Amino acid sequence: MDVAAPPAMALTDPVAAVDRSGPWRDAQPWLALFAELAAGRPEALGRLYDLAFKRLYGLALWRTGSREDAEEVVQEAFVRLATLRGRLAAVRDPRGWLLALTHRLAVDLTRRRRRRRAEPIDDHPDLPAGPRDPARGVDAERAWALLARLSPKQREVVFLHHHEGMSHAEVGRCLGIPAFTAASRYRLGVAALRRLLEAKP
Amino acid sequence: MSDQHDPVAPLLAAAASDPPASLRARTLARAAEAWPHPAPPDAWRRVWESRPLRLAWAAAAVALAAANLALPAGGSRRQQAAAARPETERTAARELRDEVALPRLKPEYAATDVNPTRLAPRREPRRGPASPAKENPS
Repeated sequence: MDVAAPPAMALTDPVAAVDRSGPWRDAQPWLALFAELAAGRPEALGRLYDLAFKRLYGLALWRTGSREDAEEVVQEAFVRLATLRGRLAAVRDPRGWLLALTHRLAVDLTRRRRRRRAEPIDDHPDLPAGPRDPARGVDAERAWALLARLSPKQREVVFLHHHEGMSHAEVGRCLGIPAFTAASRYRLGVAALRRLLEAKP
Repeated sequence: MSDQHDPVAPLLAAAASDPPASLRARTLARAAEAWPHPAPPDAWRRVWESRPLRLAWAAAAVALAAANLALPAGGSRRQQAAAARPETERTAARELRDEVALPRLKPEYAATDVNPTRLAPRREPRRGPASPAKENPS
């Protein structure tokens, strides 16, 4: 069941892209799934994946700028969930915990890649091409071309605030930064996008 | 600012990207592989959950507190040496000042000493002879 699917009218109504309600925002399903995992029931992993995969994949993609890396991060996050299940019962904010875990894994993977390539990954982002829908594809390609100009930190904050509907305080808690820093990164990122939009009509 | 009027909002909405469908099977397969190998508890949890370690931790804390109370109030030799250092520096400064204040052995060099009250008045820059054409324009 794809409970985390974004609304189909995301392009016509941009505000609808922000999912501010539903199972993703409700803490109870998360707590129940974490409790099941802590009790040793691996079948809860599938339901947790269905609940969270779009958000985790989106966060990893916006942070790493690479599809392959984002997939790797999501897989690693679920491996950690399986191995750390003994500690999940004590987690009070499962959604924030999982997003923070994804963030750290994405940062670690980016650092490893950077060391291996010995060049800044930001200069060569492997951001995804547009979806198959040609009408939407043009927009998506342009969007990713512009997003590639932002720093990974700014992209990440923009994703969490805009797509996840998280407050700056929540974003700060998730990323381990002050809320003011999160707000500043968001403001600078959006301002940069606005400038790029004006420069490239 | 409302997102509805922001040109950036549709751009961000267009950037939404879905993962491949095969990711679910791959992710769950890897998680299933890792399931039989749970991570060991971290060091703090081990300390908290083990009675001997907890007792050792409490004993170390008590020993530290007792040692802190039992230490002499005057402090160690190093602290005393650090406290005495300013007196040494004051003595050295006084000796240096006395050395500088000694009278000169050759009185004729006393004029080279810088004395603000005896500074010579500043000389005016020397000018060349005025041209007769300027003095008598007619």
